[in-house]
Amino acid sequence: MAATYNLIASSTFTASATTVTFSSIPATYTDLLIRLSARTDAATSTDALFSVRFNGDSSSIYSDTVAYGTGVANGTARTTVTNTMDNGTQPAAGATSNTFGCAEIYIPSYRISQSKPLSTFSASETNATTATAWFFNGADAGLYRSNTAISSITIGAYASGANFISGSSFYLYGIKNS
Amino acid sequence: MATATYEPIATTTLTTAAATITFSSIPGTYTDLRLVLVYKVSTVSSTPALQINSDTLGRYTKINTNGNGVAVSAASSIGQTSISLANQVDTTIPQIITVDIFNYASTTVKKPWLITTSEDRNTAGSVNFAAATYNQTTDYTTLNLSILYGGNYSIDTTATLYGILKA
Repeated sequence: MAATYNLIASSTFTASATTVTFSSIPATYTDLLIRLSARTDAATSTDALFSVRFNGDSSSIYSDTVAYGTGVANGTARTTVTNTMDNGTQPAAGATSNTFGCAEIYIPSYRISQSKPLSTFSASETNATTATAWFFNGADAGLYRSNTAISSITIGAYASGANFISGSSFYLYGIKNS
Repeated sequence: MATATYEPIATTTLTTAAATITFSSIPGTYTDLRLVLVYKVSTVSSTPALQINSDTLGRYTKINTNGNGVAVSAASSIGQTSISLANQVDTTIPQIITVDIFNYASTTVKKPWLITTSEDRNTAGSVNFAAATYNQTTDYTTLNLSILYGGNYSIDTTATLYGILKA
């Protein structure tokens, strides 16, 4: 039976860095999947947005819709005509020490010559005793309005300009449907 | 060599528009199923839906939470003739639906489904989590993707059914 769920590349940080990039993504899969666990050093924050950018493309052709819950409230928001795609949040410097979040980003049909939809599910639980610091489960629908096949992916905390800290890990998988 | 645990059972990419996509003769050798649908539809009212074993009786139940960038909402439905899978659709921008069906080969339990829909169309969007079930204990051997409210799945729509093994 053909292997259909393969690790393409991974990166586990041993020092803080602003971004991680998976480049030269092979065109031999049907879908891509990123699984990550991260924390940022965004100052005075309990959480910080993380975002993806495809093919190094910083033009404003990204949009996303998110629904989220914090343990005490829920909400929804949209961004459009932005130059990165916000995918969710991860714990930041103000969160309980040594806590990390997790997320899964699914990118189907990454080579197709049309706009690329993607989905992200992210979660952070920080064992905090104050409601404002509980955070954060979210589902995010994203759209990259380019017909170009995705050959590189960069993940960063663009909104805060923060770093992912040591111990953050990122895994890129390829999935075949045949 | 590690055992393969996430395998494609079948995939369909439409070269002509179609109102149904069927996965039949699903082997009972996996633990769970995952259906991935990347789709466009022919009209803005066309809504993807799923039935089990071609059963169109009112045996489907769903509860869901939705966010559209403006408001969060929740809803439930019982006694449906299929499970509606989407909230917002588009005729030009592809959208994603995943359906995880756990323990699908069991003949003693009513199987739980987890449905996610991710629909961003640049000008609007929604994300949705739903729990659903087919109110029968029969094993699942056929999945029928259909369209509610008329219309078709458009060309380039891709549906893939994966089997997941726990060991």
